[in-house]
Amino acid sequence: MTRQEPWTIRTAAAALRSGETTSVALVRSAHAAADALDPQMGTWLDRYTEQSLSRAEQADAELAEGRDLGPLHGIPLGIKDILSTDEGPTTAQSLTMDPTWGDQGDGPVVARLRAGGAVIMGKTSTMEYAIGRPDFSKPFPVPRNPWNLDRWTGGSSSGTGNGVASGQILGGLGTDTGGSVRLPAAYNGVSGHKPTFGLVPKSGCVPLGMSYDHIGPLARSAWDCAALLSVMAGADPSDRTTVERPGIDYVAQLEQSFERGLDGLTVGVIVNDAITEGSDEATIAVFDDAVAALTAAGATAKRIEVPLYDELAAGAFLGLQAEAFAWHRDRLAARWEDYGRPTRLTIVQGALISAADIVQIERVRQVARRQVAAMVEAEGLDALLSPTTGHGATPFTGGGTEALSIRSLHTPAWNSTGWPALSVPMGFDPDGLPLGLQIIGRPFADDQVLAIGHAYQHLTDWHLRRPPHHA
Amino acid sequence: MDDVSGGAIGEEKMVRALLGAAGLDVPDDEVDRLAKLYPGLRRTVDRYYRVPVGDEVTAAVYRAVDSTPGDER
Repeated sequence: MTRQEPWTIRTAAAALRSGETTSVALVRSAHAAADALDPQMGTWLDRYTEQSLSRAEQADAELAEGRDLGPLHGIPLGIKDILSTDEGPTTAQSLTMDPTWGDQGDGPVVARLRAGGAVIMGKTSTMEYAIGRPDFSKPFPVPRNPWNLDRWTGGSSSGTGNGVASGQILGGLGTDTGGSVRLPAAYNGVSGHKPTFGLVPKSGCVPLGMSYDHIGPLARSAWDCAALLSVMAGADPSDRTTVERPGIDYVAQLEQSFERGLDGLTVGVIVNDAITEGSDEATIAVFDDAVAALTAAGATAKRIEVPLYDELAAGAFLGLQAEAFAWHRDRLAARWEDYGRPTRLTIVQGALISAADIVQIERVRQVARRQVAAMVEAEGLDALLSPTTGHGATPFTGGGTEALSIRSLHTPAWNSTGWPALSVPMGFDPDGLPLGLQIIGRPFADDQVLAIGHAYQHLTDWHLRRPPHHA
Repeated sequence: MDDVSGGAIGEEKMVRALLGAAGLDVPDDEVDRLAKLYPGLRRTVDRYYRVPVGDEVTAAVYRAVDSTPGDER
């Protein structure tokens, strides 16, 4: 995939139709990049070489016959290995995962990508059950950051994040329960979108925190995420939490919005202590520059405090631990030592809080959601902004168990509300590590969030920067 | 609500009791680790009881009729 500028789904889709490249060439190049980079990067748990090349040949034939399935047709993607696919088992990167769980085959989102012509390259690495930490004690890859191999990728959609950043794939799927799409997007310098809760069906995904889990796309650009979301979104009978909504072409929405520009757009810049004190100076400076770029292009910015922000953020972790413990309890009892130590010590905290505690956290969640909505309405805000994380990618330390400071995550509050949130690259810290701008929208305003990200990516080129370890 | 310890029995015994009630046999060093975390966990949880919520219901609401899309029952 070597070019002056890295491929995006958008440029690759145009090149497929102009004859500049073929799907087979893209997929062969992707596998060659994976052959070269994966031993260092820890991107893949499994690759479907033969199946993906066969599908690419089919895509080329279909496009040649004029059967165009849309912008994902012939595009190589990676799937986080907590999502089931037809080709092989799902490990959730754990020794304890039931090997027959994935026998159900494609979940609805993977099936939709396939129907949209995408080429599934294989299963990307994660943190154990999407909650663990980098774990050198288990027989699974430890994903590394293409900007600095001594740094973590962020998790838990680690392999999809570093795979896109290093040019091994053009996009893929992650899941986000407290920030697991947006965190690897920020740390790896790519774009990642957590959709509104209920927009994308979660069946076919190993659950973590059932009421906080989201499946979301990672890719280089907001445009690419919009192309993926257009195919992924929509209710499905297999997931009771999905909501019937009119289908939206997020790419068309984004392009129409771009034509209108940012004039008249009002964004709320979050200034809660958790953000300002939980971010280092370099991150705040880069974030201020990002806000200034948007206001210079016509947006109006207001400094705002999000009500009950700390409760929303902490509640996501408390809630997901309780929900995760409910799913894992019997398995933990039977196979404690087979879980990674960081994983079991996180999930088991769900056993230390009471049923009444969870009810109270859920009641506060309702009140907080209502108060945030009222604040956004009263202030006339179209979106909210914050850094995605308080600093660049963290180093591996010792056994890797301290690789992440929870306080520096500015993502989990939006898992509690279920509101859409996109992370796009916004610059670099003094160590040359990427930083993310988080754009949060009202429920089901995913189109607006993606449009703001797209507009920002016309003002900057951070999303097109290539890391030192790239195909 | 100000007593954030394990109460009269102490954090270590409290944690061990809660884990035991859940059917878990956890090695001593990991019980110790959880016992150190426990007071902070309780402090965080107890904060939620200080938020005025009136008669608010939980975020997860039970419905007598399944609302699954496409389910016509």
